[in-house]
Amino acid sequence: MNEELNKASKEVLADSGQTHEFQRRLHKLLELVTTSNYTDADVREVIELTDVAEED
Amino acid sequence: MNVKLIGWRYKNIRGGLNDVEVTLGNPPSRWTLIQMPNGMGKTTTMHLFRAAFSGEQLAPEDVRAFRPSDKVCTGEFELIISIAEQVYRITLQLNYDTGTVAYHTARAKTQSGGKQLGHVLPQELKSLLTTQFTRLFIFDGELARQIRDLNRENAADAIKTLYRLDRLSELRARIERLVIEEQQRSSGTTRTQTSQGLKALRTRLDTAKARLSELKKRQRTLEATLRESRSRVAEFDAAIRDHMQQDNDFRSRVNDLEIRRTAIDKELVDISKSTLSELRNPAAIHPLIINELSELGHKMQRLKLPKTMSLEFFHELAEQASCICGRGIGPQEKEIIRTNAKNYLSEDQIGVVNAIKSAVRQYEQATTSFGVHAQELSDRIAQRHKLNGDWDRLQAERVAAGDVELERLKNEKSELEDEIPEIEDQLEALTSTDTAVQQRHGVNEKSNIPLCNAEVRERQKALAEATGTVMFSKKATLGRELIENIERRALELIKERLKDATNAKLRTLIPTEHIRVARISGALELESDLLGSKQQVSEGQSLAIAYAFLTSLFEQAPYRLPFIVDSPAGSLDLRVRREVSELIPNLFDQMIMFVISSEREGFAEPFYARKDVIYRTIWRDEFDTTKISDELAFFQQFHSDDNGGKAAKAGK
Repeated sequence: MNEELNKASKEVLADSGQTHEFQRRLHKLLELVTTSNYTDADVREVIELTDVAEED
Repeated sequence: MNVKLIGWRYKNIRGGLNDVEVTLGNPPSRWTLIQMPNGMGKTTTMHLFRAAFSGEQLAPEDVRAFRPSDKVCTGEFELIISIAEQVYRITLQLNYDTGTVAYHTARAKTQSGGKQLGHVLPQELKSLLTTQFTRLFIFDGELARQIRDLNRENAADAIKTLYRLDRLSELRARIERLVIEEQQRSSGTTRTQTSQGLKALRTRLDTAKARLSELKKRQRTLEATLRESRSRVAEFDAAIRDHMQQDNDFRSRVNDLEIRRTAIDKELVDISKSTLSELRNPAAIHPLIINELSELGHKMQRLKLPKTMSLEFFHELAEQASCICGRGIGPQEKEIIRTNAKNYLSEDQIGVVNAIKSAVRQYEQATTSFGVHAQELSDRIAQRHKLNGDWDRLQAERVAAGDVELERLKNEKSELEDEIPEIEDQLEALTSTDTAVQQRHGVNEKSNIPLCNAEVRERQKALAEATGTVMFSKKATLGRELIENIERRALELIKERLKDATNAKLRTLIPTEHIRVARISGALELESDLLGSKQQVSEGQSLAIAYAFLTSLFEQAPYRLPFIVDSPAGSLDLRVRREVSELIPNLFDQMIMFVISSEREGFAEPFYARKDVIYRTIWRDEFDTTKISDELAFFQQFHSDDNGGKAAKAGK
């Protein structure tokens, strides 16, 4: 992962209001993405960890 | 990923390029200077390189342009490269009669060992090497002139691909696919009588997405047209200024106006910045706001917020068996305490209110300066309008004196200026998020991007609800948005670094005029100390800017590509040639430079002290036979009158 993507990921995730675990896993997924080394299961895991409001 | 150019071979190609093979070694030398007289096929070679790297399908007329004579029906060009130390041979078989090209790829050490039909490179590299992208590292003077007008999308795409941000777009697409799969899987378990309804919902969503894509395409087209129109207006301004300066009587008046306009423009920028900065501090805007804030502060002081009796205190109390007064707390009392606890602020709310009180106290001592600066700004704008009026009168005076050329320039510029508000209006209708503006333009989800976006989201939600995948879809949407924000922010940071790196090189290459890149918004926006917003640069300056930008673009990229350049010094003066020659080659792992004899001075000389350089001269002798020499002395002494390379000769 290049320096700018690393920094952008940390900045945006820190402001996302998401759990620390989600931030860690999405950042890790981005690392895998830049080397094209990830699976649907990796993506699905991160989606499931996303914290959303129950109601609109 | 490291890509090196090892060599290439021509057969029946125009110029002097019949059965010629050029080898650079494996690993190749870091720098190769190839001296070819004009007419030998430098431009042809650059076209063939681009085709061989990108695998593009050439138009019949482009294929036939490589034909050396009517007697020849076929031709061949082979490019030999190493990718991560694996050798690839890419062959273009050119059929001049049909105007077609067939690509073959051979990879050393593969099981088959033979040629494979097609342009078969590692997928990672294949997505990088688009036709547009190859123009950035197989580079000629034509691109140098266009570098400042790089299409916004093209520039962003080049950066995204080179720095692998495009993979985040792929990730977002993958998330979207997972949602569709989830919905399909889920709809398989729903009742059969709803399947028609689900199909209709999917069609409606697809229609909205297609419409959104069309609208975004239209936005890109309009933005490109607007950029082009503004750029042409600036060119007309420069042409009018140059034209006016040709007249001795007007020159000093024009220069005087220019100096005053530049000074006012600079002041306008400075005062605008400080005024905008003050707008962020409400107390600085008007004394009335200070008074109101001060009164609020006093009221809050009187409020005497509980410091210890917070909402949390009562919640804790409700959990106790008895109150502090000794009476028992039963279920009924617990319920009453919990209900009444809502009347008290929670700890975090108390913190916020105390912060407001503290901030409001500071405002009581604040002074207002916004009005003063706003007046200054207003004065400068009036002065700028007056100078514009003076400028118009000066031109009118000249036209009245019979200057037909100036009148033509003014009319053409005026026509162009009339088009700009119309394009801006169309863009506003297409992109505005403001409800009032949307109503004024009478737009709906079919003609406005934000409304169409909302429509897409609405239809996604309807489909998700119908398939029982609402929560998964919501999570996926949020994840996609976060990834999109990360991608956008990373692109901003890369552009910022590229800008700084480009400007650092420009300080060396063009030290006198202080030309610098103000912004990379797609095209390179330039500015200079002398002229504010810099619109006009010389051909040599364009080339220096292109070098500074491209080397900055490539120097930290994860892909190391050979930099191939035709006429690297043609339009540069001697001093800049030396600077370019000393600075630029060190930034690439491999650089191949096609030069003519007149470019040696200034540009080739700094190489003579370097190691790991090939000096190759390719020319045709008096019998039309192609010759190749690798001797430095020959390279240094070669002279050509550049009449098709035929009369080239060596010797002093």
